[in-house]
Amino acid sequence: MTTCPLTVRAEDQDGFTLISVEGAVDTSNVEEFRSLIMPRCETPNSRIILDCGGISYMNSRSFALLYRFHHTCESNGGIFLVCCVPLKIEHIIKLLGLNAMLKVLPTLEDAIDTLGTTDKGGSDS
Amino acid sequence: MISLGPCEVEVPGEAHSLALIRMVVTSLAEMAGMDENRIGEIELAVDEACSNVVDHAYSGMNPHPSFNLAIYVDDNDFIIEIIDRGKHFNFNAHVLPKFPDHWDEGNVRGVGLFLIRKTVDQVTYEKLPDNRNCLKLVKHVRK
Repeated sequence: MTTCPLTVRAEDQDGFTLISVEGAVDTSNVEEFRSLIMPRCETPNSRIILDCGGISYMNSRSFALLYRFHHTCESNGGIFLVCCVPLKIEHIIKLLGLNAMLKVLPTLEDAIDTLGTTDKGGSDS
Repeated sequence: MISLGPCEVEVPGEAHSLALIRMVVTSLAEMAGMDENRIGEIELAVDEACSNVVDHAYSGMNPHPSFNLAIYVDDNDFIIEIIDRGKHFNFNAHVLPKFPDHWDEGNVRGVGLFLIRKTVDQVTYEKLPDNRNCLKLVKHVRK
């Protein structure tokens, strides 16, 4: 099946993993979106920043997955932060009430600062 | 002042059609003068509706039939009809999920209809005389 172009890049940095996503997430590639990110969230004590700055579209299942990533990561003693969310996607996050559950930061710098103010629980590398 | 349509599109009943549909819808919404949030909302509603056709109405059908979109725009409303040849479902019986309970129970599906209802001003679903199904979405161009 032809899928919508999607790039998920994970970089282990100093004390955290930066996951950058580019493209659109729809029903053609949402399973790819899940399978590339969820294992990182299942690793104990992971500190993850999901950079959404390159995302042009997210469907309902991908919003649900954002919550699953957050829940899974925190259940395993980790931290899951979301940053650089485009306005139209942030609007839907608020519509779903996800902003009350996810930690959404305006910029990558804000997300890194937020990690710096929390206790380092371990490394996922 | 703008008046467009009907703009009629027939696409393969496959997931790879969704990107094209979103491009058509967002382009017309921009031409209609909708703001960014409203464009994002109608893009999401149409994508969810078409995903439901591909994933549910056409489930078990091989090959998937095509489906049609007809888009009308005037000064007040952005109207889209999505007409499929798949299984009918009881739209009015759908119970909107409660969040975050829905997700805490491990569900990642069932959010699409919630978002459709939340992001458009009017939604109707009916079986046509020729047995096709028509989902009609109406969104005001401005608040």
